[in-house]
Amino acid sequence: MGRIILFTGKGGVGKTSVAAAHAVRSAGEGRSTLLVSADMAHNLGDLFQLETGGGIVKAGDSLFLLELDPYRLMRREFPHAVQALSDLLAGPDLSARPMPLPGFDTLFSLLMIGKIYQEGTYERILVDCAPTGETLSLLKFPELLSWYMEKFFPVGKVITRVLAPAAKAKYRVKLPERKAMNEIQRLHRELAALQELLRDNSVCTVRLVCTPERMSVEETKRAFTRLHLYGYQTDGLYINRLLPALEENPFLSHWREVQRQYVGELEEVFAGQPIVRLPWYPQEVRGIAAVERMGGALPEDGLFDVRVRTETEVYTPIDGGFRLHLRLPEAPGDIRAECQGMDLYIEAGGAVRRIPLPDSLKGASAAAVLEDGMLYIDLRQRRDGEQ
Amino acid sequence: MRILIYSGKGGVGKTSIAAATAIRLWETGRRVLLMSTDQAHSLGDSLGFPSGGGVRTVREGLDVLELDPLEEGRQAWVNLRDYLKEIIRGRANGGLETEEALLFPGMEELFSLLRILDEYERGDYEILVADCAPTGETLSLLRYPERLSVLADCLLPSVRGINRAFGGLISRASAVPKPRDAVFDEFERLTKRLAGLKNILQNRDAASVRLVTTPERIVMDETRRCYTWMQMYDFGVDAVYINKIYPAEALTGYFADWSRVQEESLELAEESFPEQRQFRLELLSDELQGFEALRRVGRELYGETDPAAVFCREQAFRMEERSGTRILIVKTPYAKEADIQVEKDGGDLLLTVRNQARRFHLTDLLGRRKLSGWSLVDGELLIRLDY
Repeated sequence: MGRIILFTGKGGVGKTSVAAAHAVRSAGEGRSTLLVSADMAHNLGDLFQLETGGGIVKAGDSLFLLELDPYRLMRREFPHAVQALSDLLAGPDLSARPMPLPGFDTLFSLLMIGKIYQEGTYERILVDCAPTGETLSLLKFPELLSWYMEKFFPVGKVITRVLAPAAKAKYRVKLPERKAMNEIQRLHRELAALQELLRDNSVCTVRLVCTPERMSVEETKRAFTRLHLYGYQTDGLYINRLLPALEENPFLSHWREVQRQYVGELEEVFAGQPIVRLPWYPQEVRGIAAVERMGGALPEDGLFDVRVRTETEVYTPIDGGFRLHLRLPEAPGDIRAECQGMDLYIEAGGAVRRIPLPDSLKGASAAAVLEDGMLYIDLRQRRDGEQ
Repeated sequence: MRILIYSGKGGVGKTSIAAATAIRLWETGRRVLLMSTDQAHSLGDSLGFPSGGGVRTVREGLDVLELDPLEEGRQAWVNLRDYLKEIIRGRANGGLETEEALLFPGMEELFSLLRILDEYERGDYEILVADCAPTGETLSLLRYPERLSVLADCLLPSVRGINRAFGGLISRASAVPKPRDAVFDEFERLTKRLAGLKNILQNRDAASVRLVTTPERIVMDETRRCYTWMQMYDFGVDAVYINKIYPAEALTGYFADWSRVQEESLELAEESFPEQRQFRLELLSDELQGFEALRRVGRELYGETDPAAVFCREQAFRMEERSGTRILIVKTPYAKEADIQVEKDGGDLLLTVRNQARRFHLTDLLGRRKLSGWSLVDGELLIRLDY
């Protein structure tokens, strides 16, 4: 069975370099490896100093590179749906075409990765993904859509067919035609299959890359929660750009202290996840030698295994909010739960766990209940003015 | 009234620079409102006042409003969200995932921008300073007000009519609840506000967008991409701030080589933003915090310059499309054909007039096209891009 690892993180943290370092290591083990860039701002070519673009490029024994072009894919695979969307929204002014719906380019890239996986040519597919876990949360759409599609779509098709001529003649608005509607249906099926593949934690895991800076740390924490929430397996955190000890450089030594503080915070949130620390190299990571150097800084054993399998934290609706379920086999007596800022702190038996809350629960009130080895935290949205 | 929008990727320091600018403007005797959308970086903390909802007065004439983009989004969509929730509720899992699913990624920043529009219309201040990080994709939604208005003004009433007449029938056949009039009203209102926002952003005297970046290749490229989007929509970018430049004292020993990386990025900025006012700020020895520290930075940044001035009114280029060919049009009033050299450099267009180099970062889609020729017509350079 093949293996897919998605590397994600905010732009500029070095996720392309980290993904590339893994690819070089994997190919070095003699496993056929495809490194895919699904980030719209491709820089694999730059990194490996090779001519890329247009298709799969061989970069060494067992090492292949691919920079995805989701727009081309969209036009090739779903021409009518794309056209319908453009007609509906872009109008006669062509410069807005094709529609850059936020996040959808990445979704199409992921579809392509699913296809490559099904073809089974590569043992390992390593993906340099677009920034943050928001991308993956876009995969929530199949779920929402499926119900809608089953119930509403047949009727919707009839309505658009009836309405389309009138809309076109009277308002110069083109509603989607039947071919487009069929494609939308197919797109929905493919997305559902993709979601299943990416959630299969014997095949696919997500690894987060960040730098020890406030914004990067905040975004990474939130991405981690989002990934949990949507049922994706995360199995690694890479903290990149750590400053080395520099006695002769007091300016950077101070920033090293600042970094240390953020590393501490990450350790609290990512307890149970393998954390890899990578140094800040004094040159840009560019060229195969630089990628190999970073590859050498990665852990020796089991780098491509599924390194963690976790039960996801479950949230169920309760009156006025949601209940978070956590397994807590040893009852440590005193338990405190409190929301501070965007995180939930749980204190149990002297240990503190810190869980970044999903956006929709920010600023909620928290109450802990312990029952039969399960800890329930009831999170309720505060009303205005309440503290 | 002037609106100054500070934009840039997370972590570049746009909130601090917006705050320093607001304080500087306040020092020169203006009534200023500083709006922040930054969730990870509380203005309350850095300016030293208790955080909380609503407008707060920091000093006489200097007010602060911390926006919660999420809450803005919720309010803007309240009816549509309720409707979607109703639709989704039929599904077994109407839990937290549903809540999260209705937070459309990338849209929140747009709603924060709409809030700026509200304050502008209210007119209580001389200057609004806001930090906001809309991506190109988010801004592209502002392109559609005309189209959305067509839909809202023409199509929606008829859909609304059909909905009234047949909604019950469709609803029974499909088990999808019938949308209430409020959903349509909300949609109409939203498109009107988007159109209003677009008009203000395109009015040079009213609004200026200022890009904040750091001297690193990837961040700089992001900034250049954002700048290209702004140009295409004719939003006035009048200044660029290069923040966190490493001082010479930091770039010694291990990090000596980094100065070259930094120099390259600064050069890239010179070539990419020649019309804009450039402000440079060195990395400080500690995280920027406190009213006095921000006031010092404001003085250092601007000196005798008025931060509210319009530093640049030109649209650097515009795009047209003629029978499938994209044409990038640049004003080059004094250039002769013999002086001009145009070439493509990766995803950039490199224009050299005598010895002056100018760089235009192309959008991802345009970047894949080939340069097929150029011509000089009435002081304008027409550069043709084809597949």
